[in-house]
Amino acid sequence: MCVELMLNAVMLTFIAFSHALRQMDGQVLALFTLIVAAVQCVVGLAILIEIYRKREALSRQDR
Amino acid sequence: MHAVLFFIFAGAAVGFAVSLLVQRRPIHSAISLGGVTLSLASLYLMSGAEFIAIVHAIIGFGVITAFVAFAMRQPGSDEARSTLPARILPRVGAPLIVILLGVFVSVIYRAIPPDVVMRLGDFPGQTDVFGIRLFLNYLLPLEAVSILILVAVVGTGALVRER
Repeated sequence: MCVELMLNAVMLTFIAFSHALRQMDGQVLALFTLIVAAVQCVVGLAILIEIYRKREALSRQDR
Repeated sequence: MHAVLFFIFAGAAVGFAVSLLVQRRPIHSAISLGGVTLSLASLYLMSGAEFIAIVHAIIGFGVITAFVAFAMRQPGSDEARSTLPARILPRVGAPLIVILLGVFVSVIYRAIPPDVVMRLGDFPGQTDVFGIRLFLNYLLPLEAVSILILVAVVGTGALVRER
């Protein structure tokens, strides 16, 4: 979630410069940043689920 | 008026971001992320980036739903619901939110004269220009990002697969 927050800050910077310089390029780059943020979230959640699954398996073995 | 809205949404974004960092329960952090997403989408709307604002809200809330679903699966997520403040706060907080929204809307209606239409985006073209720029100037990055999405989908499927 913290990475998500940092990417949000980057997106805000892109949009602000796009507005200030009156160019659409910033918005296009913001869209790419948004896609990368969504992708990292999905992969991060999958890694977390795998970690929890492994931890559950380990705790079952301990019992 | 623009400045007032800017300070409201910017303050809300910073407040929710701090809340995201200091919350101890993942579900509360996920809800704070929702607040950040909503505040930033409003700021994008005010900056003339309507397309990005809508896409950001849609993708952001999809991500938050996934986070909340993950957080609710974790052990100990039921404890928060059974405590006394957790039972009382929604009953007290819901009317307070309605009152706050009512005050907010009435302040905005009084501040804006009825014959003035607020212009949210003031770029010459919006989605059409955006699409043309995306497919003419940024075709290679677009294809690279689509391959990245494909890799992420396949990788996620491989990671969460039952063995």
